[in-house]
Amino acid sequence: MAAEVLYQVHPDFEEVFASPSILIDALWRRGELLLGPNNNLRGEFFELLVALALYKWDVRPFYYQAKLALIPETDYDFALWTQHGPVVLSVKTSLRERVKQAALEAVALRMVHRRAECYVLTLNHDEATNAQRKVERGDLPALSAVITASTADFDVLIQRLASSNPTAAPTVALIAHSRSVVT
Amino acid sequence: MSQFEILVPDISAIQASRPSQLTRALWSLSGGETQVGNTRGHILLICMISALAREQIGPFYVNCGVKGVPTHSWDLVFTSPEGRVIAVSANVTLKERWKNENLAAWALKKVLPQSSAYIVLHNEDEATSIGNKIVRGEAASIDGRAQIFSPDFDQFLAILKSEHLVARDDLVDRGDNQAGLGPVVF
Repeated sequence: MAAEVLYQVHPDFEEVFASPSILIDALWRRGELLLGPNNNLRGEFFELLVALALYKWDVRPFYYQAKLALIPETDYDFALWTQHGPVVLSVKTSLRERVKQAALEAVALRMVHRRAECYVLTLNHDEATNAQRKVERGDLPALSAVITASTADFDVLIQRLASSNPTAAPTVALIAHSRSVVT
Repeated sequence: MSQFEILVPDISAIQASRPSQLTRALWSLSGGETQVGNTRGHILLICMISALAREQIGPFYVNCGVKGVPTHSWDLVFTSPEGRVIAVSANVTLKERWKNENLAAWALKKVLPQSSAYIVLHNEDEATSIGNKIVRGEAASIDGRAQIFSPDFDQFLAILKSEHLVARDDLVDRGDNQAGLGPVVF
């Protein structure tokens, strides 16, 4: 289990890391040998590292594996609620075709929440660079950025998210107002 | 001359009373079963387009997106005079990508509410599985699915044939490098 691997490589929760990207890089390196080739396990472990970075740098509250109302059949890896609406993080050890899935999920989110921000986090720097170029060219228009989690770009993102003061997501009435209710 | 034309020089010579029989025969003649990767997908699409040609269904666009629905392109896009889109994805196998198709269909309907989205598959088990997901509401944005050699496919083509289809370049996104084709008219 990914949590067991994390405990093995990070037994002291108080261990200090200089930045979120250093945390990700250091713990990923420590865990990589234990994880082996199982992609699901690697993916889950990476998610836990991101969760740990969010927690340690006070990007809270955050929602893990969140399904957002009004958006069909989509689990966002991480979701935050800020004054501008939702921010979602799609976490993938490598991208390949999966950036398209993240981009579609971002399209769906932005159709409901126009000011939503949608980030893809990955560990493969080359893939991230290529995908980010597509974002900048407008080929993946709903994505805010594709970021390598072991680089300083991730630190900038974490800092920005922490300063956006995330809150618990509000609950909204599905019928905002009606003159009367006929039953 | 393409490899498909070498393998299948005369589609009209193939004995097939139904579209699904034609697609099965073309798949077999072109060695679809023994091919790998993208080639199988291309053969499947050619089989489907051949069936559309035989049934005189069109016009349609190939490998195009829909304006206002970024990121996704469909294998076939049909358009109506009222501005509706019928989007079709033709896949040998989908695996987890049915979720992408469902999301894209949902986005399509947000942009053009009367539109519909269908999936045509080669893999029978997946066709059944996606059918079940549509019924259960997990893939609620998908309007239907058909296995390309089954009577479902004939029914799907009958639906397309009953539609009033016209070319609507204004609705179609051919991609940045203009890779999308069409309108294809028979």
